[in-house]
Amino acid sequence: MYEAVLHDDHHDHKPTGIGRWLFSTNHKDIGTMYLVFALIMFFVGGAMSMVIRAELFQPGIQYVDPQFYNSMVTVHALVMIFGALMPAGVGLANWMIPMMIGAPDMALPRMNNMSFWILPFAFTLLLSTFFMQGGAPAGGWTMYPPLVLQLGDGLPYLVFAVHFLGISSIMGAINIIATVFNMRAPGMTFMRLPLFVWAWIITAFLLIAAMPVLAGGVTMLLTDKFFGTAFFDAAGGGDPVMFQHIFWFFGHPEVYILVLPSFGVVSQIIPTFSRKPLFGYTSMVYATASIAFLSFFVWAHHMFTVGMPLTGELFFMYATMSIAVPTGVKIFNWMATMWKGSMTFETPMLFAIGLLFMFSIGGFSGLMMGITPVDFQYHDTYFIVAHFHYVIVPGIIFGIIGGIYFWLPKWTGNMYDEKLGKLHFWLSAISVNVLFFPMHFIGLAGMPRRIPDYNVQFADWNAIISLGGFVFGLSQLILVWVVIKCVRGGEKATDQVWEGAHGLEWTLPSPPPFHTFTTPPEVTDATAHS
Amino acid sequence: MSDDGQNSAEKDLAKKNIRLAIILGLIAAGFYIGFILFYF
Amino acid sequence: MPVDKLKKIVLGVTAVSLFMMSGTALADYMNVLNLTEGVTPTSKMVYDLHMIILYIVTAIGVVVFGVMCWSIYHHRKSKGAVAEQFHHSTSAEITWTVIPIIILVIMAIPATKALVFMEQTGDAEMTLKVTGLQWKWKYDYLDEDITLISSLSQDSNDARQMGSGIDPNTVENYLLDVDNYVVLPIKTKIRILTTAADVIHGWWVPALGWKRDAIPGFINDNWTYIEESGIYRGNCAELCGRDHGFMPIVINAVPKAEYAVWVEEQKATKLATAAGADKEWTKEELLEKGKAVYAANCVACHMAEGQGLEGLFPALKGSAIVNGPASEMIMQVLNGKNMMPAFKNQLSDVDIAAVITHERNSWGNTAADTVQPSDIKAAR
Repeated sequence: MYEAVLHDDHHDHKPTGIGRWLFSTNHKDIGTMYLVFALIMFFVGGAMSMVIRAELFQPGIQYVDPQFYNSMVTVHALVMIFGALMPAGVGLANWMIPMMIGAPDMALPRMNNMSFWILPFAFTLLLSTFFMQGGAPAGGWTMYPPLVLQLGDGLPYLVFAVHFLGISSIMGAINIIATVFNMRAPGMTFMRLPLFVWAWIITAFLLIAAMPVLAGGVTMLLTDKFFGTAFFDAAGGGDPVMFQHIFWFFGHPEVYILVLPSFGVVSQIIPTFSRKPLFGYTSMVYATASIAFLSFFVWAHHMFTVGMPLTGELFFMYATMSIAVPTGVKIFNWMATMWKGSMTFETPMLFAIGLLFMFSIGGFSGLMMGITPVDFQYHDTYFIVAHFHYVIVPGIIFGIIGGIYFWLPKWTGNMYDEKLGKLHFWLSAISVNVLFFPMHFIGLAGMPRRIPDYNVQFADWNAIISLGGFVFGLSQLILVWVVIKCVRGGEKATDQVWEGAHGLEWTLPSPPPFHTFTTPPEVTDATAHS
Repeated sequence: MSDDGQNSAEKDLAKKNIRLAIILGLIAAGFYIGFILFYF
Repeated sequence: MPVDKLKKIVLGVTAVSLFMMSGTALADYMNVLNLTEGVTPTSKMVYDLHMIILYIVTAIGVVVFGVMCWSIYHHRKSKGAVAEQFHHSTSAEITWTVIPIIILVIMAIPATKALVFMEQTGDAEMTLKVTGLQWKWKYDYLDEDITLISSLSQDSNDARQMGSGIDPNTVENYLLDVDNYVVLPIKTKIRILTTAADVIHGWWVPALGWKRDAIPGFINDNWTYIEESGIYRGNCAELCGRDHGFMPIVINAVPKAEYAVWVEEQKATKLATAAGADKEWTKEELLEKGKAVYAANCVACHMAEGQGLEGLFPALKGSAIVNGPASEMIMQVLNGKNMMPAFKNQLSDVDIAAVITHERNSWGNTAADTVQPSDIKAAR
């Protein structure tokens, strides 16, 4: 990837062989490893969703035992969230943050390496449970007790995998905060930072606050099973619902941890392809921070049916509804950026606009679910599945993919194949709606979630949904092809790559040398964020 | 990248980074330990 | 491909689709698009609220997406648009902060009213206690001292086995039918308590307008007032293990007089079954009953020939526990282990004795003894 620049830069020597990757302390290489790992895990999780959709294609049980099906549902989510989405986000952060702030690397390069290499280890622990007595976890990614404690030999592996994933994320978050706080080039004030960097600062603080809570909760699962505690066992004076409170206190900030980086990517892409500065920079920073702050006060909307006191139900309803306000502010600011711009629609812009439309659909269903009395009908149905897949797939994932297309020319020095990129976008955008929109219908009509079989009234929609799923899954192979093709070669990319691109990262060569900004750059308002 | 050939400015930066990392790490670990102590 | 041919194909597909959707097909189709209005004051309130919110978000969507589409069309470089460079407007920011707040407040008012209405569980005329089990429901009519256990109906259970060869389309109310309906009186305020015996389940009948988790060791308080007679079907709504998708709920709501008659019938049946647990059963009687109990409760995991499923469910054929001392096997069946439920909560002494006897005498197992209901009673 860096071969083109090597012969010109005497200081661009880099390690070779397997050691280059195993012992890397370079933010570009580590970013690449995170992204490659995430892409692999995306297909692993995706394969599991194909098993799910194959079984749900028709009524009746055709292919898998219901117990194994539940494992697919559970591990699909764990792999996607912790193995694909979060590592992809951190991969983009690793690649781009130092370059965006004019720093030579991350603040703690060795810890950066460890953060990455924990991931394959943790997933080996998790996926090995498929081969154990009792099978892989099958109680949902939410791991509610008492059900999760019925798992056989795999329980400690699940718990330790979660512990390690948490440690990796926390170390990554620490690294990002230290990098941005201590290593900005002179003149790169906080209010000149690209919004992607702001998004990551805020996400990093969320990670530090939320992950330890998850770690605590799963530790309690372990001690309940093996060390005689009864946190979640009523017979021993405990309460299964307490786990839900603990889990979702982590779980709600977690969804913002997942989405804020993608919002950051959108804030880089839209101004670039509108040839216009981001509208309302200050508001965007405050809105992002508000979303993060409010996210700590809404967790029980995931548990509206547990039987909370009325006051609790009302509080969480009002708090949940309030998050719509800063989120709306962000959508409107992006629209105002596009407004009266001069837009072109290359692949990154397509994915960003796709996110605006379809994340909003997810936002609408989310608002509906926030209304407690109606959520009593929606909860644990396919309506919920529709909501979170809309915000995750054409939301978070489109943001990540948009970022990949946006930055691939910078990383590799080659333009990716625009025709293939557009094909990937359109196939994905259409199939993702065929896949997830009908889920609203069947959820409302009464189909619960996490079931391998259903009454025949749901058959037609399930068949359509499964077809959408198969097309969507296959379409993602185009991304792999685009990336491989781009790494190998393509039209040479300029430093700026995109006509409307502004920021320090776009002053570097494409591809950048192994070490960049070893001398801090000059930062003025002109070279700061778009 | 190795620690050899670091000038004093780089050493200072490294100190600052490590200090901030330790503080944040203690906060995270503190949440976890506090959680455990509170509940256990 | 010539454009005319393409047009014909598109037209043809559209026509066929519309035709297929006509008549009853369309009515069925519409059933699978939206929430039910239901048959209680709660369900109707919830439905109305759902529709209002849906209209509001649709309207917002039309406006927002409309503006975006217009901008995408009009502000394109290829159309010659030249970018302006404005990037803030305090008045715009205030407007699009305040208007959403107003909309949210407007939504919150009826939502609060509905929730307060739903939480008023007082002044009930009767109480039904619902207990979730892996994987069936137990219903205790607390005022009448009647208990029902309600499991997935046999024809659904047979059809859903992998490789059954039975087409679900031929099973009436596939996966939504049970052996014992929950009979309830209409126009009566019924307090419904939900709890569970093993893991968290969820009790949901959409026609009533709500669902509530059934949590082991805790009791949740709910109420309903069914306005119309009819059969109302629902599902377990919280992942509870392997057969979470196979433990439906069926309510048969009947006029009060009919309900009273049903109650008397149930009380009479209860007296009759109580007699069975104390007598001595012959081996043939136990085996015959045990075979039926096995088919309804055990075959799903341990399979028809007792062979189990490698890695997940141990085989009963040749099993050390099944062929060992009866007392150990009784404890395992009563108390469960890992994914195996604790059957003490869901099966009677007669049923447990019968199924254990059946297993110890089947598939070449050498234990070949009998276990009496009184043995189970003693072991509890």
